[in-house]
Amino acid sequence: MIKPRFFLLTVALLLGLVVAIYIYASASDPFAVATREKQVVLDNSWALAGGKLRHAAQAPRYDIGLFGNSRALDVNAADLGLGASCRFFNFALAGESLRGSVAFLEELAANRKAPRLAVVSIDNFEIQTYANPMFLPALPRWRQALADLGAGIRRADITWREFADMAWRILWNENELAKRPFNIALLRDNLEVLLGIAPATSMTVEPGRGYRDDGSRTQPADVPRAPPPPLPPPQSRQVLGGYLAYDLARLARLSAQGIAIVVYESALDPGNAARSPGRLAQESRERFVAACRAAGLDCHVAPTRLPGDDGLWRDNTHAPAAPLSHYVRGLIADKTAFCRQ
Amino acid sequence: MIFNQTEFLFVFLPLTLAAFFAPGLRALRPYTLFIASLIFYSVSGVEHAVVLAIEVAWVYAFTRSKRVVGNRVLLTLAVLPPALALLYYKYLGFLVRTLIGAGLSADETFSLFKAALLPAGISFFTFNLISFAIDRFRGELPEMPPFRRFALFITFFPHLVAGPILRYRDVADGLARLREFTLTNRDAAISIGYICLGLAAKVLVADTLGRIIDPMAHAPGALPPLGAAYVVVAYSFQIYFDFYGYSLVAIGLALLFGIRFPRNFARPYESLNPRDFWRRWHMTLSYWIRDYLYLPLGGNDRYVRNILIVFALCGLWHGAGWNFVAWGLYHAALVIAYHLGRKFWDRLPALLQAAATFVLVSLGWTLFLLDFDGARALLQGLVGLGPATAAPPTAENWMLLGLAALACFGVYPEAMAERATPRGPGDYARTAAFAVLFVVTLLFIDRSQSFIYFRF
Repeated sequence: MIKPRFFLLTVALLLGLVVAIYIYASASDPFAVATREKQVVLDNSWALAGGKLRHAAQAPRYDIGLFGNSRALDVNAADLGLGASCRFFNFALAGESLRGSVAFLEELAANRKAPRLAVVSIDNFEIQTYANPMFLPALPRWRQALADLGAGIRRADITWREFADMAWRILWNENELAKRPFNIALLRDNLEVLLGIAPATSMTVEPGRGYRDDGSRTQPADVPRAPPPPLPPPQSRQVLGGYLAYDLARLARLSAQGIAIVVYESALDPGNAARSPGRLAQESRERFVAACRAAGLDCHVAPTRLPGDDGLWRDNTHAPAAPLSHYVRGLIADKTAFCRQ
Repeated sequence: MIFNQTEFLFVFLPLTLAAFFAPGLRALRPYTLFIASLIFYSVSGVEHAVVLAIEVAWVYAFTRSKRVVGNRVLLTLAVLPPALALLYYKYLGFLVRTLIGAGLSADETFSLFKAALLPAGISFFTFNLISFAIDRFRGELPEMPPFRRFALFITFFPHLVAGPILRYRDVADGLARLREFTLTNRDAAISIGYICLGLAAKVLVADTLGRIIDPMAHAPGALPPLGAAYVVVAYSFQIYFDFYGYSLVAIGLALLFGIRFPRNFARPYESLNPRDFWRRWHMTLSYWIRDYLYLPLGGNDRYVRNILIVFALCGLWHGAGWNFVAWGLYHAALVIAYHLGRKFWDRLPALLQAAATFVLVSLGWTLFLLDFDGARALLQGLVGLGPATAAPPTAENWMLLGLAALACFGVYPEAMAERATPRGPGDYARTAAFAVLFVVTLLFIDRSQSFIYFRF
């Protein structure tokens, strides 16, 4: 007959083993082996986040770091024209939002690895993306969750509705993250890594969709032939105004520690950028501008057109690499003097 | 919420068990389970939980009096709202399409339907409500249970959305003794066995076959004969392990709370003839139909007519579509044909009888998997009349089908779960094997699908 207590104990041990394999399997820094010509292929956003976290921990402090998500991933050192004396790394993580960028920068600052100049991309308010970070390890994530809840109670500009929304988002996040290790394909990959029968990352020498040594992503060479269609309006309000102000205040605290910070709202394709903003976007943007002013941050709302932009975007929200890099270059032009010293 | 969800296994179930067995809450156990069941159901739609609660209160109100015995008016009043709710949610679109025009969708006809999503398990709990009302009407339940017990009988989460279809007397003792119930090691062991094996049947076998079949079933006309045969047989195993797995988990869960559910399956693919199949497949539905439909219609007195009626309705119960009615009538034809030719059939070797029954039943499932056009295309492919442009199944596909067949004919889950062996070191090895099976199932659960019978 089955022994119920022994069954529960064995299941707990096996689940613990699966989680341990998940945590310890990927200990290498994939960006240490990549070059500009030889990109590293990371299968999914978890692998990318893990790789960039490990890289940040192991590499010396960078001069300039870019934070954001897939909308900032294509910005690279060469297009920024920074020169060899200025070390740049693209810390953007696909799927994250401003909350993830702030948390990443805070993690780096806590480990004295924050770049001297941090450029933070916040998603265009027309698309209303604003979510809790998924990439953080458990302890800093729980610490941040407590801080978020504490802020909801302490700060007058966070409404009870936003507080309740945040509490729900924290639970949702934890639930999703708890499920993540329990995936047979992931377990197999992790076991291969642990047993040394597979490399931690696969390398490609062909120019394609991979990551360069500066953390930026390459795009396939094919260029779209027509501008993208109109952007559908957002289904619901995702940006929590009170928490947006709180996140910007967190950035201001980092700025007070000596990290230069520039925040910019990501661009839309010129066709959509020329349209009148939606009500939700307008409200969020006004809140953003006011909170930036209150925090004393250098913030920029979305441009109507990027420099050198021909309007041929792959979609409405992901700007082509070159015009975006030129735009970012303009934003930081007067803040990179330390690179030449 | 569904059983093959980590939220159910690691949040809902532990919390419900903790609340149920909390030392100070013994007296509140029926309420604890009732509230937990409503939460379980509300996750898929609060408005559906409201519909369920109203139906429960309604049926109770009209059956509580002793005057309901033999009173057709009270019986009708009791069962009419649940029956109308079933009609509205499940069949009105089908009726409108049938009566007004085949080309129209329900949405195009009445805007009313746009928001009327089918409540999960409505066919199951409606049958439970009706059986209770009829049992009261017949005087077979002389003692009216308290409301909390009746409400829990209907809403108890292990059987709420996909059965087994219960009669009150099946679970009356367990419900009455909830407050005194103590979970023994033996019951816990049996329960763990049922849950592990049921989840494995669903997640490892049914869903694996489903992932192979789905792309093939999207273009059934392109399948070569071997591919079509593969789909027919693999879907037969998929639907079996899907529903059988659910039933095993339901039995195991109920046992954790001291309630014994009746069996729903008795190795149906080893049936020797079509009639035997219906005594082994979804047994609680078969018995319900026999007791509340077939016998009142006159039973064997008008055999052919009654078989046609009950099987057509059985098909319709499964889904609001003519393909389901046709599936029911197909089984009616099999049962009648067996009835007429049983002297010949019963003389065949048992293995041949079982094989023929399996093939006939499996061919019938194509009407579950596909609409009429799809089923016809599949059958054409099966006999080599299709274009056969799709690739045949791979060796891996055949191997997985072989494993499913082995699990179907060579494994005895109930015996494995219930087996009481003398104490010894073998117990630990056996327990460890079940733990490994459970964890392996969890590793596949992220790609698991909803249960097929939830649609009904």
